[in-house]
Amino acid sequence: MGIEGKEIEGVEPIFDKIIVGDEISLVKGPVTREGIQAYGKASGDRNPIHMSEKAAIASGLGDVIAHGLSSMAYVNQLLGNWAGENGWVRKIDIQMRGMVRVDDILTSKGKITKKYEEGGKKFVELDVWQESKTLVTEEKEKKGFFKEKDEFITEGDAKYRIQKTILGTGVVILP
Amino acid sequence: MVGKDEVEKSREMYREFMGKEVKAGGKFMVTQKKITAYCEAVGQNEPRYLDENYSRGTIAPPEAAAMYGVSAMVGFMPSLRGLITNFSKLLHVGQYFEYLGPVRPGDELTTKDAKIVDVHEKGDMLWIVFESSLYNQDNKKVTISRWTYGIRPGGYKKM
Repeated sequence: MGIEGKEIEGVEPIFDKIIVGDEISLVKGPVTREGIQAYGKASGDRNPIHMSEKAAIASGLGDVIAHGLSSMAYVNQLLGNWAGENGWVRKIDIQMRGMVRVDDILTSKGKITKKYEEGGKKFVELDVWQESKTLVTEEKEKKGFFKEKDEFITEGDAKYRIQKTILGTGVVILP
Repeated sequence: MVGKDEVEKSREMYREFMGKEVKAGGKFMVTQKKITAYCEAVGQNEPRYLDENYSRGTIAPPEAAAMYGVSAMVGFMPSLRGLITNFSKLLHVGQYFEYLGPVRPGDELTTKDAKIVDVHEKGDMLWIVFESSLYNQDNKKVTISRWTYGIRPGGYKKM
C-alpha cells in the first residue's frame, strides 16, 4: 500500500558520541502510483495532480506527482526514528525543490551541524536534504521529465537522473 | 538576480495582505485509525505510533502534522482570492513544523492564530507564507506550522 523503506544508516543517536559532520540517511522507494494514492487518502490531500493520471496530464505534468509533504515525511521520519522513543523532533524547516514521480527512489539525509545542552535538554541541529534517483527511460524522456541541465549517472546499462528534492534544517532533542 | 531592496519594496506593495488573519480549518479528531493509515502510507513502522498495547500509549509521528494541517491549508486559499488569479499556478515550495507537545489518539485539535505572515515577489514568482498553530482540547499549543507557496507568472495579480 504505502512505500517500502530500509533501515536508518549512519551514526548512533548517542549525544556524547556524535560529532559535527556525522551523517544519517534513510532510503525509501520506489514510489508507486498506489502509494501516492494511499498518501492522498490518508493525508486528506486529494489534489487530482496526485490522484489522477488524466488530471495530471491535463495540467501539463505528464503524469501524477507525489505530494511534497510525503517527501518531507520521510525526512521527518529520518529525524524522529533516529531520535528514538525517548527523543523528540523539535523543528523541521524545508524547501521543496524537485518533483517526485512514480519509480523514484528517495534518499533522505541529515548532517549534524551543532550540538548543545540548554535547560537540561540535549539538542542536535542538522542540515537535512533528500535526493531522488530516477531511472531514465524513453517514455519518461518523451513526457519531458528531464532537462539538459539535470545531473545524470550511469550504473551498468541503466542511466539515472539524480535530483535534490528537499533542502532544509532540523532540530532534535536526544534523551 | 533580485536584490534584497527589491524584495523589501515588493513587500510594501503587498502590505495589505501582511498579517491578515484568515479563517482556517475546523477541528481535527485524532484517532488511532487515522494515525495508522498515515503511518502505512509513509512506511512508518515504529510500535510507539502503531501498537495499541504500547506501554506509554501511542502518539502521532511528527510527519503526521501534514495530515492534521491539511484542513488549515485548504482553509487558507479563499483568503487569496483577488490576489491569486489561477490556482493551478500555485506551488507548495516550503514547510515548517515546530513540535511543542505530543498528539495522541482521542485528541481534538483546533487551528488557531492562522494568518498570512509574508507576501513578496522574488525572481518571477510571488511568495506567500502562512502560519497557524494547533491547540489540543486542553488548550495546549502542540504544533506551529508555516506553509510557503510560490505562484508562477500569470497566476497572480501584480500590485
